[in-house]
Amino acid sequence: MAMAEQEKIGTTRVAAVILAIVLGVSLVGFAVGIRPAAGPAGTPEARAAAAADNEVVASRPYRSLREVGRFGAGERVTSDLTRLRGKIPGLTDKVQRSEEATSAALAARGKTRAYDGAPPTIPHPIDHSSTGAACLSCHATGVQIEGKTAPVMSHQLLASCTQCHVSTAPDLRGGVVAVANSFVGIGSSGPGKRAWPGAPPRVPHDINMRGECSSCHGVTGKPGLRTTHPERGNCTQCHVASGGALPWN
Amino acid sequence: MSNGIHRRDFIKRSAMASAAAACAGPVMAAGEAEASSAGGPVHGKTDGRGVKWAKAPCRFCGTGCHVLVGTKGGKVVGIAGDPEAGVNRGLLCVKGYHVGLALYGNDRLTTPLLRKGDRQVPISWDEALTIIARRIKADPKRFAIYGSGQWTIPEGYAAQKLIKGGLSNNHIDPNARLCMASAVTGFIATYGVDEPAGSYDDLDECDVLIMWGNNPAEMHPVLFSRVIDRRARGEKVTLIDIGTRRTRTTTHCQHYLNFRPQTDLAIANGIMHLLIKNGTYDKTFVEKHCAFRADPGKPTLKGKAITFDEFKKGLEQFTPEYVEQLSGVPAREIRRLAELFGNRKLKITSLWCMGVNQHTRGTAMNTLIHGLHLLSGHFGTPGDSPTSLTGQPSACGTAREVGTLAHALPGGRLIKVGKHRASAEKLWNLPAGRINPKPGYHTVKMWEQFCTPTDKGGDVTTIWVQVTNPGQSLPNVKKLFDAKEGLADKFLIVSDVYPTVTTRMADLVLPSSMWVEKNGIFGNSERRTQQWFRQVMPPGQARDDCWQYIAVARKLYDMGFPGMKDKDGNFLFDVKDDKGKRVPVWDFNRYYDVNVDRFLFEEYRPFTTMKHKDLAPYEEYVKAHGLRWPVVKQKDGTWRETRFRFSEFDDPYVKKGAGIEFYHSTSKDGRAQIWSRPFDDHPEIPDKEFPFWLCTGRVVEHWHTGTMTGRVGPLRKAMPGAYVEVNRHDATRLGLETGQKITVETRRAKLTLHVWVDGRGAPPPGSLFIPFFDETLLANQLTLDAIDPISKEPDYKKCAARLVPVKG
Repeated sequence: MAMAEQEKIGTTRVAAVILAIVLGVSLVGFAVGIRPAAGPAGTPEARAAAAADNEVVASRPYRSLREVGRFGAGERVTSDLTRLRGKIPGLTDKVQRSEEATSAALAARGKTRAYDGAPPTIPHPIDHSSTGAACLSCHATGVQIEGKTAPVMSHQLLASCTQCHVSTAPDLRGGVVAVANSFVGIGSSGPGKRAWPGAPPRVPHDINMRGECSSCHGVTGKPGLRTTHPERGNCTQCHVASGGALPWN
Repeated sequence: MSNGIHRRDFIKRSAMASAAAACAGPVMAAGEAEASSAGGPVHGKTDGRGVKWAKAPCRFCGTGCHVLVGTKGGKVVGIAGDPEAGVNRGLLCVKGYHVGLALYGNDRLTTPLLRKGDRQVPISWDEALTIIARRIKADPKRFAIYGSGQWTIPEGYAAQKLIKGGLSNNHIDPNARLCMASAVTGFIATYGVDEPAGSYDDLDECDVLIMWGNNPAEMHPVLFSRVIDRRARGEKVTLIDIGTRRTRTTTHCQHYLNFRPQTDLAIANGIMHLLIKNGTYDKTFVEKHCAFRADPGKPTLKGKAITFDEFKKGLEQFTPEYVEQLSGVPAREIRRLAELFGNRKLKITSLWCMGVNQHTRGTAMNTLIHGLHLLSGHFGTPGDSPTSLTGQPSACGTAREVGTLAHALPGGRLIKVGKHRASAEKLWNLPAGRINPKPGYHTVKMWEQFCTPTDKGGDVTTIWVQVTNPGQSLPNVKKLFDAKEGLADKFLIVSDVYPTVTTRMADLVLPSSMWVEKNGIFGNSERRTQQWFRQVMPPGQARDDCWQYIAVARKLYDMGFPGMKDKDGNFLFDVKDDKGKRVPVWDFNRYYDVNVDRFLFEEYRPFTTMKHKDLAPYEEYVKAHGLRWPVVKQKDGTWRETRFRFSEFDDPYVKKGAGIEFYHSTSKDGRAQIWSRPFDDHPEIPDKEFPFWLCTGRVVEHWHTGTMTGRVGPLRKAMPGAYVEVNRHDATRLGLETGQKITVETRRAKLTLHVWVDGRGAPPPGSLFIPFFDETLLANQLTLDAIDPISKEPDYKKCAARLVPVKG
């Protein structure tokens, strides 16, 4: 079929659809117009409310997203595209490990975790009403934006992200009385033991909900935790669990 | 399930890997310290870091997840989801993961405090107990206990025995009255016995999940994940949210039906109307297993029997178009629901909680949901179930089963029924006639009487509050709580763990142990009884709530109060060790010489069989991660739990060959009652003066009044204060923006809060929402104290309000 012909048919169809919509809308409008103002139930507000719920509310202009940013997920909206994309190290880039970097990485982790094993809190504002899809747009693979890292999820897909992870960048400041808390959580388990110098270290921590090693140890991981060999995908080939607490022991 | 499989797979894999490593190279020295291994913490094990892990049900909601509590050096240092727990299978919510921090707020109450003028000054435990005992002795009839669905089973049982068995006084009611009383009356009116027939297993099997005014994504997150994670694994489950506000739950649902508050009654009637009109109701099921009932004018719990034709006639007016007119839900959506319920091949589970219960027609709405499932035959097989969720961790186990309500006795017995009183007196070894035949005051009445001056008929002069915060959680608090201030002859005793709005009003404050600082037993929403042991010591002089009752009882006994003795002259709480030797447990130093929880639980157990809610011996719960009653002993000596009640394939109490049997039927013929319950409107509808609907509720981060979660940094930072959700349409119209302050005013009070548009939830135009966790912004000053006529439960979800601009 010739292109022109296809386009023509397309145009006709579009016109028909538009006509149908216009007719439909006018019919509905007419029906709404002649509807009595109050029904037998005597609840005009209710029906006004219900009708209003179906009305189209004008969307906000994009520029206003930034204006209300201090209360919502828009805080990170930026107009500077050059700064947007973070630099993710390549798989073969050399990784220098140091004790200082590891301590710094663990200290940073501690800031968003009440104890080792606690689900981390979210350091950025979130859209409170969105599903996990919004979270996954960054955390499914892990990205870096404006120097901030969004790590890949450390566990399998669980659909209700905000069940466990809450944002501590609050949208509204409120008045709950702040009382200090003296809880001291278990800290990091420290480095994994090596059988001899040069042997692959064993996994020092439990891996329940931490099965995706690249979340912390992959290329987007913090320098002190990043693996020197991100190109190898089968971590447990060389790094085994520490043992000692299997349920049947 | 995915967690379990994941974990088992991993253990298998890592075991293989360890074996391989062991063959290949030097083996690690035994006992070499290293952090825990593959699968994570395990109940009863100490990991390489010296952290001991033990099970406990979570302290917070009615879901009843099991957490593993990690302790070291006498402190809780970590929490993990318990992979062995049937409820949560290793997963928790953000409150559960941080439950351990709730013990360590720096302002824990650590000594008894007595009001002297404007101040509360420290006194000794002995002085405190003497003050309470003297007040009770002077006027036992005007004393009341206000308790909680967060009481452990032994705590509620001890309170119940002390007041009803010891003081011949029935003024005891729990905060659960504010939370699930309408669920109870709904179950009793329908099946003749309380609590769900099904269990959480229904969530794994259903094809359609209908949530009635329910937001489980925030309130029962682990259960909600149990369903949506099935979808993530590729299963097909249709989620329908029937609500009055868009919530986090709505975002996961395929369908959202927004209804005008109170018209859920019309929607349920509309679906029934179509099932009958189209002939798609389950005729066989209804003929075999159901009877029909209606209110004889005034709403009652038992009603009167009606015929099917009369029932049908009552539904005639509820055409989809009429329902649309009342509710604002399009007629086609009512038809869609009727088609689903009319399809016997689908498995449909309904969930509901506070939206249906905190309702001036709460009992009616509960019976309508049960009726809808019965009429359509969506009942009695896995996945086909009307399942009511509770808010508190032991609203079922303690408030409902132990019966710590003004009209009830343990095990489904009623104060009004002579036989029931006699049976309780026998089990408690009391002289005949000890239990007062007149029901006590329900919650709202109790506080009304307490806040009314004695010379004006306020005949409650002392209330002892435990494990709850009525100064924040009662409706219309100015009338029902704040009015106590300045009434010189009224005396408020409050046992709690932190200073609260309620302790600040108290004349006597008692410091309590909390959660794993004591032994305990809870009962969750799916009839599951869960036990735990003390794992750390309480701070300062904080002591167990259960001990507090026993110690006061002993003071009264020592003062010669006759009610503290049974008919043989023995002390009411005559606790003995395994060798039969008396232990003076009223001395706190001796309280843990014997397991008082086990002793009281075993004393309580015989109460549970009358209504076929049989509990197993205490030791069985020590071994299990909870068991769902009836737990029945098998021929081989093991104890078997019941997942699906009234169904022959699982419930041992159903007659062989009956298929389904409602063996506590109120019509005494094995049938459940389907109720005719027409729509009628709410007592406070928005008008010109107060044009908005105001709804109150909870958020995922905070537990009820926030006294515990408000002291947990990550939770407080995530949700620091209350706000008012305003619809975008209204906000635009009124020129309001997120973050701006606005005054919300009702006929009772006003409150100034931040506006939140398109925030955590989004109410429809003409509606507002305020969470009630914030003690600095008391949402319950605004709410209405209108109650359901049958359950006496207040309606926190609806009242009329207006928005007033803040000046300056």
